[in-house]
Parts: sequence; structure tokens; C-alpha cells
Amino acid sequence: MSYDIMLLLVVAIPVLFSALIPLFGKVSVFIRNFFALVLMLIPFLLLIIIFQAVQAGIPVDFVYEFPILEINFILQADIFSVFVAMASVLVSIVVLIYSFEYIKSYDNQNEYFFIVLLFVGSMMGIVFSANLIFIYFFWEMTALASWRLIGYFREKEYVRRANKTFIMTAAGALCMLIGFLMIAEQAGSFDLDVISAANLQGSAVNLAIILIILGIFSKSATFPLHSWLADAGIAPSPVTALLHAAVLVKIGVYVYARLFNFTIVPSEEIRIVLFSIVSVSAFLSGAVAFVEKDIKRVIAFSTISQIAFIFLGFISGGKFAFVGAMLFILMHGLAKAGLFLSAGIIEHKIHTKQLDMMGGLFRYMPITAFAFAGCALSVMGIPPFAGFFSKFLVIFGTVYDQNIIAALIFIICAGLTVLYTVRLFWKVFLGSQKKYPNIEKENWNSPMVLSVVSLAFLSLILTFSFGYLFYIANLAAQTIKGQGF
Amino acid sequence: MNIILSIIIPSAAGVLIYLLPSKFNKTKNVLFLAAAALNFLIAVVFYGKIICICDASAYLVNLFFRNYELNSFMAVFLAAVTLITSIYAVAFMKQNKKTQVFYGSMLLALSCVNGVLFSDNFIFFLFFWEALMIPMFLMIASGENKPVPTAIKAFTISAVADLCLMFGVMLVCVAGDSFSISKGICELKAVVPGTYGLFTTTAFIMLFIGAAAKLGAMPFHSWIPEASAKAPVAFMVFMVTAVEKILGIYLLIRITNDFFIIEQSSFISVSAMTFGIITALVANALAMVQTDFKKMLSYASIGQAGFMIVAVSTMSVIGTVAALIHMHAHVIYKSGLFFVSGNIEKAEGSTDMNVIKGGLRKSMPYTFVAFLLSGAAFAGVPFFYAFYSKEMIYESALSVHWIFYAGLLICSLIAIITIINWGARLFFNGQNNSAFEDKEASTWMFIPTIIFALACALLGLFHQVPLKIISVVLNLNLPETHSNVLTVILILISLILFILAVLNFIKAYKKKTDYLGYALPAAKFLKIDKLNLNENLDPYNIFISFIKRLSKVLFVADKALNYFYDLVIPAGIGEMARSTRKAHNGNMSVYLLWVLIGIVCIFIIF
Repeated sequence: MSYDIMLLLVVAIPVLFSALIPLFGKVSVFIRNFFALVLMLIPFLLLIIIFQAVQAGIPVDFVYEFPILEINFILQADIFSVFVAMASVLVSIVVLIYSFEYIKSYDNQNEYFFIVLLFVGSMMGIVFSANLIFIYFFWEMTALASWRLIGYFREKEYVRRANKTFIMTAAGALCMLIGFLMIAEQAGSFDLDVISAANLQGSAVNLAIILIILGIFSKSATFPLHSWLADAGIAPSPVTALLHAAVLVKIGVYVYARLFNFTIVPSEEIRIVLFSIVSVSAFLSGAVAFVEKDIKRVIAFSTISQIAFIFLGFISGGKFAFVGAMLFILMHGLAKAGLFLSAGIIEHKIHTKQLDMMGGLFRYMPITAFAFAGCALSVMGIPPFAGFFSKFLVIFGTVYDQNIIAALIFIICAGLTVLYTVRLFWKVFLGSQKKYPNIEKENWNSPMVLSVVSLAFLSLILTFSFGYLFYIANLAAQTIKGQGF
Repeated sequence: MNIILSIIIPSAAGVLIYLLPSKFNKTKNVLFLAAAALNFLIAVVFYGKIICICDASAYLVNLFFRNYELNSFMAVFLAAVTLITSIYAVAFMKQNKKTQVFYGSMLLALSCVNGVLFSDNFIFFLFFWEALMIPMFLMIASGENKPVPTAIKAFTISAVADLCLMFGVMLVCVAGDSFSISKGICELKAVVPGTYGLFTTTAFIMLFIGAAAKLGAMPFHSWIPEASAKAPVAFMVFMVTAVEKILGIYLLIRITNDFFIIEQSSFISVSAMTFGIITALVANALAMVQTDFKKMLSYASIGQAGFMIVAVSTMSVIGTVAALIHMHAHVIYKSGLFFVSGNIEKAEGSTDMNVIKGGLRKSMPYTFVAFLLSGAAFAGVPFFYAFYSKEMIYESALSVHWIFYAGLLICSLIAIITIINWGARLFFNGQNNSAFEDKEASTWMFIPTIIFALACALLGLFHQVPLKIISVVLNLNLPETHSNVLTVILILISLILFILAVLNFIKAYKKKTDYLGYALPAAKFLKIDKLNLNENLDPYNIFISFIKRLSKVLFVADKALNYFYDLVIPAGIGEMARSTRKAHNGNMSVYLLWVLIGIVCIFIIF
């Protein structure tokens, strides 16, 4: 099988075959779960093979030309895209395994697994598409899937919040589409390679960039378009892990990096505005996380804050900042998913998300507490957890690119991260002991607990392969931006 | 065998101790002591040998570890303190249920400190420096008296201060154009030949904050006195007295000697000295009004950090040498005194003045001797080790301005009064009914105590030996002024100071009410006692309260934005729909008007 076909399969398998999940679900829960896992594992294995190919310098792309519309369906793999895809699928696999236990007591399970697989497939579509129209197509597919997943419990308030998410991200996507059309009009094509070669500049291009960034910010929950993310915390915990940590919010930062680090260069004025926006986003959400009283909202605001760190790296755009942001996607995805999934375990055990109702849970769930602590330390960027390196490189890269003020603001935001994360751990696991009637004993071999532990373990163990990861990220940047980068 | 073993062995042993089932208590003790001993052996074997280790697999760097005079001196010293402390810890913590956590964390901390000392790459330097927070948290949490809030406080303060250090390191790396510490230093000195641009000034301030916070200087100090009451004594010796001071001074010396060229009496130098003198004054004053022996020692430790900061910040050769010697002396005598406090705690169940009735010289004679020797060094009595380092610090401070010298003298006076007060209260005030019982510490607790106490006396008598070693370590030659008339005058002033303190004690002793004499009314007049008791004045609480208020304001702003999305926008869209519905009334002329407006819009746009 050629690498090009493999690349097509990475997108096609989850997108197309996910529709079979409800059918398998009618037969057996075990077969359905097994099939869902296989649909996730195959793309991951294919990605490993593709990764080796792109690392060896073999071009991997799949092209299909639509004869009438003059729109090309192009899937293109490079180290950057494969890295992001692997990070997303890795976390998604863990989330899926966690879901097997989490979701078993709820209705509409077949639909749940179908939509999750569709969602991951759409993400793969965005990551590998090298054509603006197909980026938009897959982008909207993720919006549709996330709308269904957020409103999974179907209560009126939940559906309202799912609608809010959909409307905000769809409105942003509409702005983005207009931006894409303007870019295509200037470059004469929707293909990224053609747009990149056109070296676009001018006020129309700047306007298009602003519109596209509106779409990106709405998807990646960046100030002032962030409010849907915390509201979406009503979704099942594995969904919030998938949406808030691993996939959905990363789509925005990925598309930003793909378009504005490699294809179109934003003007200096736009970059200054972007620095200001992400700084406000990081600080505001960090501060709100410090006083929020709902565990999932605290973690959601933390996500908004940490996404701003990734944006900082990509906006700064220099070698170290870009590499740091790229690694941040992986480290944050792992650790934040761990936090959300831990929140899910806690919610399952004590049936509340309110921090005031928690305290002293370390005694009842020590394994989850240790895993939570590991993930929290990685989010804070405390060594020996791998989050340290990515945070250091993002902020260092910003200093290196002479954006000292932005770097200083983000150092303060990193301080806020420490404060709200420590407070969260204290309120949940330490603090004053609350009464928990009928709390079940923690079972170390439950898939939910094992999933969280594996994410914390990965956050720790990646430290030892950091040299290699740095090398890969550096290679990705050099491959795409040239040796001088 | 290479110096990386000093990182691998303690961390591997630490992890193993964590993993061992709780029934293997003796194995854990043996493993703990063996790892500490092996670490000492490695440090001694590599002492003074200049080694560079290249690790090509790290991709990011070439030079990874470097062993040279200063860091190898620090490593040997720490290894010795760790070995002695580990013996004490095993004897002291027999009944503690969390020994496993403590031993494992102590070894991990040791591994981190060795990592900091040997790293020749800024990223790994920061990695080990910040990683230290986790074992520190666990060591405090292994105390038995609800220690977790204090552990959280220590962790938070360290994390925030370490971020400042990280920012400073980033600026230095950019200025030096390298992650390599030794290579970066060469580049950096070329960049800032005595001038202070905003970039380098910020870098210096951030690094200085990082070092000062590690030393426990104000306002980063408030977790230390709390930890003294909650954490095991071995923690106070190993972490607060040894690790924090060694790393703090190591970084301060590197900043002022290697990274930046700072002129004596420059604004930066005087500012740093002022910061140091304020820390010394406030901390010593607070130490004086404590009613708990361990808390007093903690505040005194913070005060001595102020002394060291003043010395280094003079930017003189004598100041730098004095800081390192004083750090050395301080670790020795303060460790001795903390062990004394541990012995007393074991015997009396407390170190609180209100609980202990005194008269311990009869029931704990050996501990009393150890207290006398270590306390004499604490007070700066001639021929004891700290006497010489203090005299050198006075001399360096005087070379900048007399006011710094005067400030240090006041601090020393307070310290002497304080230690005499505690000596009298603990060992001479004979109200203790059980004073004649044998309460002496066990042999394995006493040996470490007396080792440090004897070291105070011996190193004082043969002070030329450490002075020579430290001059070589720093590659600095002391100026001749060290033995001139000025030095003699300064020593005489110090002796007068000591006599004043003794006279104050004698006067107070006659009254038999309080041994602080005139110092207590002075402290009350300055409201030091209220400063001690008022938690609202704790810098940590002030900082957290400020952040909380700011966060609440931003929380309301975020809610307002949410309100806009949830209510204002849907209401606006609804209102627009209702308005257009009114226009959609079946009247032909209204529809024609709509068409006309549409055509005009098309013309305007295109």
C-alpha cells in the first residue's frame, strides 16, 4: 500500500466507517467498543508509518481533482501535520477507552461512539487538507459533531449551551469562509501551495486574515470569543476532554500555524494586535479560573489560558517559539485530558462538580489524586513533567524573537496557572474533609482510572524523550520553513 | 564512573524507597543511609577535578554537565551535611509513619541539587532547580502536625519565585546567545561591560529574585517559620538550612561574579544591599519575639540570609568570600542548633517556651554542650567559626557605607540577646520538675548534633583552612586590608557589642522576669510582637488576597461578556426579527421600497 493511500485511509476510516458503529451496537456492546477502538488504532498505526516516511523526506500527498468545480481534494503530510495528528489520535484513544466505562450507564451510546469517531476523522481531515475549501468542510463537520456531543444529555439547558457553541463557532466559521474566498480570489486558487507561492500582501489580504482569525479564535476559544468553552462543560467528561483538551480547540491553533506560519504572512500590525488579544485571553481566563467554583469550568478556563500560550508561540513564530508551541500541543493535550478525565471520575463518585462540596478526596481516591497531581504539574510546567520544556520554549522563543513584554505577561500568566491549579488540587483532594455517603472504593484496574494514570505517566515519561521530541519539532519547522529557520 | 552518578544514585534510591512495601522499614533505612554515603563518596572522589560531559543525545545541547571548583565544593559540603542529617533523620523519625515519603523525597531533592550544581546548560539548570519543589512539598507534608497547608504555601511561593528566575535565565540566554552556561557567560560579559540597559537590568533583577527567594529572604520567607513547626527537624536542617542556602548563595555568586559586571556602590549594588539589610533587621527582630525555639531559629536563618545578600551585593572580593564562608558557617551552626531543638522536642514533646519549663542542662547535659558550642558560633563569639565570616561581612559593608555596617551591628546585637535568652530559658531556668531525669538524646541523634557543634569550634580555631579553600574555590585573592588596623577596630566594636548584650542579660536576670532586658520594650515599641502575630501582614496572604480581588473583578467582567452572548445578542436578533415581521405586512408599496433599498445597496457595494 502506498503512503498516499495510507494518508487517505487515516481520514477516511474514522469518517466513513464510524457510520457502522450504530449497526455493531445493535449486535453487541463489546463488538461495538472493539470496532470503535480498531477504527482509532488503525489510523494511529498508519500515522506511525507515514511519520517515518516524512521523516525520511518522502513526499506523502493524495490528490483528487474534481473535473467540473476546479477544486482539488488534496491531503498532504509533513512532519508538523503528522505530529499534530498523532498527538490528537493518541489522546483520543485514551479518551475512547475511558468512555467504555464512563458512558455505559447512559442512553444513546451508539450515537456517542459514532459522533466521537466522526469528530476525530474530521480533525484528521483538517490536519491533512491542503485546500481551503476542504479545511472549511472538515471544520464545519467538527462543529456539527461537537454540537451533538455537547448536548449529549439532551436537557433543555444543555441543548441551549450546545446551540451556543454551534452558533458561535459557526458564525466564526462563516467569517473564515469569507476570508478564504478573499484569499482565493487574490491567489487564484484554494490550494495552499499556490497561495503560498503567490506571496500575498495588501489591505484586502489583511482583511481576509482578520476574518480567518475570527474563525480561528471562535474555534479555539480565545478572548472575546471564548465563553462557549466553559459553558460546554456540561458535556460528558470524555467529551470535554476530547473537545477542550485534545482536538477541538487545537484545530484553531493548528490552522493558524498552517496558514500564517507557512502560507500567508500577517503584517506586523496584525501580529501586535494578536499578541495583545492572546495576552488578555491568557490573563483573564487564568484569573477567572482562580475564583471559579465548578471543577470543569476551572479546567475549561485553564484551557483557554493555555491555548493562548500555544498561540503565543505560533504568533511569535521564531524557531524556539514555534517548536515550543508545537510541543505544547502534545503536552497540554495529554495533561489537560488527564485533568478532565479525573474530573469525570470525581463527578461519577460524588455526583457534583461544585468545589465547595469537595475536599479530602485524596483519602478515597489516591490513585486518581496522584494522576491528577501529575497532570496538574505538567500543566503548570513544573519539572520533571514534560510540560516544563514546552512552556519554557514558548516563552523563551518569545524573548528570543524580542517580544519581551509579551513574554513577561505570559510569565505572570504562568504564575496564575500555578495559583489556580494548586487551589484546585487543594479544594478537591486535600482541604477540609467533606462527608461522602455511599462513596465507592477506587478500583485501580478500572478503565477510567487506568486512562487517567496513563496520561499522567505519559506526561512524565515524555521528559526522557524530550531531546528527540525537540529534534522532531525542529526538523518539522526546518522542513517547512527552510534550513535557515 | 562520572559525576552524573551523583544525580542518578540518589534519585534511583529515592524512587526505590517510595516503591518498597511499608514492612521493609529496615531495608529503607539502610538504603537511605547507603545512598547518602555513596553520594558523599562520589562528591569527594570528584572534588576539584574539572570535568565536562558532552551528551549528544540531548540534541538541544552539547555541554551538559561540568564539574569545577565552586560547584564541586558545594557538592561535597552538601553531601557531608546530607549524610549527617540522614543519620539523625533515621534516629529521629523512628515513630513517624511517613518516613518512606521523607527519605525518598530527601534523596530526590539531593539529586536535584546535584543536578543544579553540575548543570552547564541553563535549561537543565532550571529543570533541576524547579524540580526541587516536588520533593520539598513531600518532605514538609511528611510532618505529623497538619503540614499540608504549609507545604502548599511553600510550593506556591517557590513556584512563583522560580518563574522570575526562569525569565531572568531566558534573558541571559538571549543576551549570551547560548543555553550553555560557561559559553554564555563569556558572551554575556562582552555584552554588558558595566552598563545597565533595561534588558540586562531586568535579567539581573529576575535572577536576583530567584536567588533571594531560594535563600528565604523577605518577602519569600513566610513558609519557613511555619514549616519549622510542622515539618520534621531533618527537613529544616537539610532543606532550609543547607539546600536553600547553598543554592541561593551559589546562584548569587554566579550572578554577581560570572553573569554580570556590576560596579561597587552602583545603584543596583546599593539596592540589593538595602534589600538584604531589611531582611536581616526584620527577621532578627521577629526571631527575638518568638516563643518557639524552632521558629526562632527559622527567623534567625532568614536573617542570616540577609547577611549573605548584603555581603555578595557589596560586589567586592571580600564580600563574596565572606558570603561563602558565612553560608558555610551558618549551615554548620544552624544545623547544630536545629538538632538541639530536635533533641529537646524528642525529650519534652515540644520546643515551645510555654510548654518547656527549663532546667534542661541537668537532664540533657550533652545537648547543652552542643547548644553552647553552636550557640556561640550563632552569637559570633570570638574564636568560633561565624565570628570571622561576620567580621568580613562588616568590613565589606563598611566599604560601601557605614549605614549598612550599623544595620548589621544591630542585627548581631539582637541575635546575641536572642540566643542568650533561649539558652537561659531552656537550660538554666530550673522550674522543670523532671529536670533531673535523664532525657538525653539517643546516641545516633547526639552524634550528628555534636559533630556540627564541634565543627563550630574547630573551624573557628583553624579558620584559615576554610578561608584558604574558599579563596581557591572562588579563584579570588583577599586584599591585604583584611588584616589591617580597621579590622582590629571592627573586632573591638563587635566585642563591645557582645559585652553590651551580656550586660543586658545580667540586668534582666536580676529581675527574673524576662531575659531579653531592654530589647523587649524596644520590640514592643516598634510593634514587632504585633507584626509577628498578625497573619494579615504575611506577604503571602497579602499577595493571594490581591490576586483574589483582581480575579473577582475579572470574573465579573467575564460574566458580563457571557451575559452579552447569552442574552443581549439573542434579544437583539429577536427584536430584529420582530421588526422585519412588521415590515412584512402584505402592502405592495412596502415591498417595492425593500426592492429599491436592495438595488441601492448593490450599487453601493459593487
